[in-house]
Amino acid sequence: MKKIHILGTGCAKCKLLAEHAEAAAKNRGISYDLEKITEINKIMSFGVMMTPALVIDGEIKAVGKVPSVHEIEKMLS
Amino acid sequence: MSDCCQSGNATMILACAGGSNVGQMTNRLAVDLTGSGLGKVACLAGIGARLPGFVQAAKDAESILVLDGCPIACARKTLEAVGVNTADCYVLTEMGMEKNKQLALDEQAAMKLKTTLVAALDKQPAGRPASGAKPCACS
Repeated sequence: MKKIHILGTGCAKCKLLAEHAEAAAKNRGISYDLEKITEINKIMSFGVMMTPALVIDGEIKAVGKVPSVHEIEKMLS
Repeated sequence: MSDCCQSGNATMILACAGGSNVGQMTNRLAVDLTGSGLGKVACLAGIGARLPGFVQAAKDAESILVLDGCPIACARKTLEAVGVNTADCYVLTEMGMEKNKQLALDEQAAMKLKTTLVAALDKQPAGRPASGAKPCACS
């Protein structure tokens, strides 16, 4: 199971990133656990200073942008 | 921690911030340009330390403005060392500032350099918001 963290305080881009990540996981038929991290101190504990950010299985994959569904599918493979 | 949604059209500004007048001037200019909405200053040290979040942010940035004080170009080379190349580099000694060890910055020189930089950035066609533009469009 892939662990997906969405880092962001809850703005439109953070929500869009979560939607893209869920769509990408579903498209690839991957089981996943998606967690949204909205508290700034917790976000910073990932070593991320810009949001939104995408973390997959503990690895930072995107910072400060919203990758497309297709791009996230590649990140999940 | 930057605000949420500092992405998309926000230019990342990285200054060498070195231990000389020109190095300190790059930091001053980075802060001033951020205040003018031309981008957002970010931490070059984090990239130099290879911290994954900082390196990824540089890789994901739509545009990066690099400010180096002198031709040693530590800021540009720090980026290149992590695989980020940017043509948008300015070297203050090549813009007429003479390097020395006096860390107190001349206000007139700072204003003149900022004016020169803003004019140069405004001429660029894409990838950066025009002067005064707000980098975050989050609603």
